[in-house]
Amino acid sequence: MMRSFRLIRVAVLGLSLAWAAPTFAQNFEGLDLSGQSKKKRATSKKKRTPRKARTDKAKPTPAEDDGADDADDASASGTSVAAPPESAAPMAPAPTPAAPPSGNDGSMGMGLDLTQEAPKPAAPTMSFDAVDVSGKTADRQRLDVAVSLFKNDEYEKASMAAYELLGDPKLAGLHTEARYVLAKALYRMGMYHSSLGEFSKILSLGPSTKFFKTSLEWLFFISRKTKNETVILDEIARHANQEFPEKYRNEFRYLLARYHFVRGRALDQVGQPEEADKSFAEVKRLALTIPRDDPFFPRAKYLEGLSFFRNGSRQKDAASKRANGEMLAAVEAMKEVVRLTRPMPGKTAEQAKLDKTLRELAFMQLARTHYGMQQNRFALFYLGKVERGNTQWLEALFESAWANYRVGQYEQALGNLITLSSPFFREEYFPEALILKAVIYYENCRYRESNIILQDFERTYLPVHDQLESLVKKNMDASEYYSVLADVQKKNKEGLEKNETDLILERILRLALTDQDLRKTNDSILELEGEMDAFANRADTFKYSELSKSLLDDLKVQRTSLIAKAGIMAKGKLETELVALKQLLANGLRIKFETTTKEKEFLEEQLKAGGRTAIVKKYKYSVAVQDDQLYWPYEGEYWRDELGTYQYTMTKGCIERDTANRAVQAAGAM
Amino acid sequence: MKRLFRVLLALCLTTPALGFAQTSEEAEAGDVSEVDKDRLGPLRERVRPVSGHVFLKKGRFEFSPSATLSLRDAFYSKYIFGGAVTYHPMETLGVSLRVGYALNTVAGAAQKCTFGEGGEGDTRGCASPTLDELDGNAPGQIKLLGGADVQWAPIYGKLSLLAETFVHFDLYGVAGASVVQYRGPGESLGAAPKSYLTPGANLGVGARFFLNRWLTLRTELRDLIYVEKGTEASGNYLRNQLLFELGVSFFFGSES
Amino acid sequence: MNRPKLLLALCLVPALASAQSQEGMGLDLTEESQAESSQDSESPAPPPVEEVTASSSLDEPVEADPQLPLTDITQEDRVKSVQRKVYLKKGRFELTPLLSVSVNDPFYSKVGASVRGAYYLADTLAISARASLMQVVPSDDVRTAKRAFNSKIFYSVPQWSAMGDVEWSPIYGKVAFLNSILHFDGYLLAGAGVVRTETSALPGRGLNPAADLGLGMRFVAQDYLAVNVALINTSFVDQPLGSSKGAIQNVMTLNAGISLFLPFKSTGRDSE
Repeated sequence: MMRSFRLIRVAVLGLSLAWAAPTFAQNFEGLDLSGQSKKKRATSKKKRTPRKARTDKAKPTPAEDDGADDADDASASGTSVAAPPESAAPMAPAPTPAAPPSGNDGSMGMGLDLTQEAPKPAAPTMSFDAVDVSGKTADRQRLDVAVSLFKNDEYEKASMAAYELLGDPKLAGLHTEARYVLAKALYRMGMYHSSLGEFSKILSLGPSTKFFKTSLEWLFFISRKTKNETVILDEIARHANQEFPEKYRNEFRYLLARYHFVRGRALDQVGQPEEADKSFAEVKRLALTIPRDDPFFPRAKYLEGLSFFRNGSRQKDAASKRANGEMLAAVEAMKEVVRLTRPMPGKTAEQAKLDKTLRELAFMQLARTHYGMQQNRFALFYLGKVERGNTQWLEALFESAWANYRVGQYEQALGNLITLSSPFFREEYFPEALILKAVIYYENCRYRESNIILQDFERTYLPVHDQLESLVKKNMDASEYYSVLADVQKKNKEGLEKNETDLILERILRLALTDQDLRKTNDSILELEGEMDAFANRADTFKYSELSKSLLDDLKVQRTSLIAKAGIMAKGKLETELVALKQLLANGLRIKFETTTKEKEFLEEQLKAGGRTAIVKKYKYSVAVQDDQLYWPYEGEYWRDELGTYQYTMTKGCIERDTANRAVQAAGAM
Repeated sequence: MKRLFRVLLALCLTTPALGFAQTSEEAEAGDVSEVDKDRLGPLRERVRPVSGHVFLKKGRFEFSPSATLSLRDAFYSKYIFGGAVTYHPMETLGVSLRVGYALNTVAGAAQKCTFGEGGEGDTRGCASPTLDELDGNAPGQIKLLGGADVQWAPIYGKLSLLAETFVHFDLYGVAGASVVQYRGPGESLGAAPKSYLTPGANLGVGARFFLNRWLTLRTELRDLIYVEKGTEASGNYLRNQLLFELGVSFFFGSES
Repeated sequence: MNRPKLLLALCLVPALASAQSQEGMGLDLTEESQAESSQDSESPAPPPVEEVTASSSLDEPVEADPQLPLTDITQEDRVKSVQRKVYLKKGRFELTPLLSVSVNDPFYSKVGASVRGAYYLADTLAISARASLMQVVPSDDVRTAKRAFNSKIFYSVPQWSAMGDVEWSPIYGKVAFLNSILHFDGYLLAGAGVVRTETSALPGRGLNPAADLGLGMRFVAQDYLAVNVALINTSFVDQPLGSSKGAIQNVMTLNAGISLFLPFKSTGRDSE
């Protein structure tokens, strides 16, 4: 009997050594576990994120007690020690790391510590274990099976095997490790949200588990794969007081800054400015901790600039803004971002692309800041730097139309608006463009044209307004708002027939998605649904397994909470847009009044003068352009390289002037 | 010379052929079918170069009377009057039929001189030979032309003259088969010259300048390649006849 | 007339502008702060009056015209596109190797190669110098002429030429080809120079003075590269070997070459 046991033990030892050996050679996805030493856990409890901001998935909230930390420590070490199979003394001690909580030094493998634990000093449990050693060995073996499946790229089977272990309460000691394997397998299968769920569960066990640090790093990997990093921001913020490994520390700081930024913004929206102040202060503080040469520095700087801008925006008029220190700091911060994102050789393609987007955003922000300070020419300068065709280009065209208007360059303003209303971009939502056009015509005494434009505006946007109003009045549940938008999206995707209402709703959808947060949440929801649908494409064994059911349930819960979030955002956005649209319609009406008044005055003058006089006079214009410019008249034909270069020539205008453009001198305006 | 021209023309027309996988027909202003509105990025990838063309050819018939002048003639200068009828099934593609009647005159390059007393170098009394003298004896005496061609017009453009006038145009390449009737030497030595009919090919480039929605000015440079029968002594001639055509095109049918 | 400041009066919260916030960061706290206006409350509008001067047809054409996008251009107003040139030529040197072939001589073709250097005084004006080497190549018709007519052809044999020209580009344009837009300009050139012919070696003769006239087109491919095609007629007086009278020789050549511009960058912008 005993001999057979010995044989089994030898066999098992041999097997596990065989498993363990390859792990040393294995290197993993950028996980650099070498040199990782256990840091002292920061005991400061400063950043307990308030309940309010934690609006994310209604996962079982991790039981995060500081008090329980030490208890966790003990239990963690206890569990991980109980795990390894060969604890029987006669075994030759295999190479081992020291105490389990000291991380995974020495094993280059997947963070899985397959090296054997040193036999513990005799404890009451040990002798008990010694008797059941065969049972434990089998369980450990089951885990090893899962691990080996993982290594062989059979992720579905690995995940199912790991899940089975989780279902077995007797193997409580192996649960963390099993969950870790499960989480990684899910990641490899491309199921990022499910993977995130599992990693969250590991992280909720506290920093004492073996896999805490690596799970934190996995959060970063996931954030790079999901469309919307916000899903992990909440998770990261929850562990804000952990020391991240050197490699990811700055990324972590940046993500945390983003988290606070989004939070601050949300607080602003619900009207809690003091709380928001704290968040923005935190953003600034975090931005300062990132070293200048780090790739995350420009982005953090951008957030810092936005925080300054937000603070400076509390000044209400332009003059005080110009004098406000925070506004000026915002400008400086953005300029720094522009400097840093200058295209330079030696950057990877992805980095260059990110830099380019950031640079554009910085230009836009600089333009808006100057615009708010009534420094219109500066604003025009920066808007001119946005490249044609890029994401911000249409927006830049629109805003430079406004800036041009302010400095009296009506022809350039109208020209920009022509590009915006060209057939290519007509579906973009710019109702204000029509109002601006009407105002410009009004300014140039072209009352008839102004009226026509206003008619056009009403014809296009009054139905949108009515539809919006009916939507908002319904006062539905927030998530139902989201489902209205989702329906439109689906119809779009499937290319179904759309009736009048649908077209208007589509317009509203486009409008709603201009809100970046909503768009990102929408993307996350779509991604989640995609993940849920992907279950159907998996192998049958996986599709119908318990694991699938549990994952699907989790995903459904995540989805519900995301939809709730999106619904709130959607409702808020729609309400804001409704107010804005109402205001525009009111402005349109005002312009009409003004126009009619003017026409009335003119007629009265005519009566007094006793004859016909003109309300407008013909302007002289020339088609001469500078030597380094090319002139093309517009004849109804659109050439791609002319988009954005249009200028309008008013051939008639106010009698008092000779040209449409005029120099507008406003106090302090640039 | 002739061969070089042929090569040059062939080159000019084959290089465009490389990019035959081009976008579908142009459309009126407002064609947003090519715009991928959800995509963001350089306009190049989302918007076609021109839309809302001033002049469209698709589905229209073109009737084009023209006058053609032959170039680089050694013996005969031809003035060909005729026309072409083209149908454009696609914006960039057309098929045409052409006919032309040629009036022959003696080319300026040919001079008949009597040598003076000074020997060979002393020429005096130079005059052009008459048509009868040359009749049938020299190659290039074309009487009638006819042919069928295929046109490809990938290039659409506009130009400005001193920023005062703006003209839209398109450039096209043409290739096809022709039938040539020419006068050549008689069957045997001393026989009267007679007309022969022979097939040929033509290759050319042309441009249309749009005057308004139904009228254009068309110009074309074509190389007509055919074999002319010569005498036993001279052998057959492979002729590369360069023709320069100027015509007015009338377009019928509505733009589809 | 005292017009209320309706402009800034429109407390247009381009909240829309702020709402269309940036991608990537998804964070935009901008709020346009247009100056608030004092809203004068207008008296209710009198019935709309007709504007007398504008022709009554003003209403319809804007909508009826299928070409013009609605309310984009009102009657008689004009829209133009003013593009900055992507590539400038002023102050740059151009170096062009060219190949040429004559197009007007049915008996003796002249093929040649030339090198042209130019300097741009302005974007549309340039002075250039061109040096060519030519080779006379008899065509098939020479054989025909000699055999059939026993003719003797007296021809001038130009060997090399050096011309100085002035080029002026009154024409500029662009073409759309496949998915690209290419710019080109058309120029006229005129100039004078010398041509050395076979007969220049004879005693009492020398280099023949010559004049140039031509036109060409330049397609710009890159900031430093262009394709140049030109039709140039060079005229000079020559008395061909064997003949006793001089005649004006016209050599009309078709030249094609690739131009290189120095310095390589002009504006540093990308095309389109």
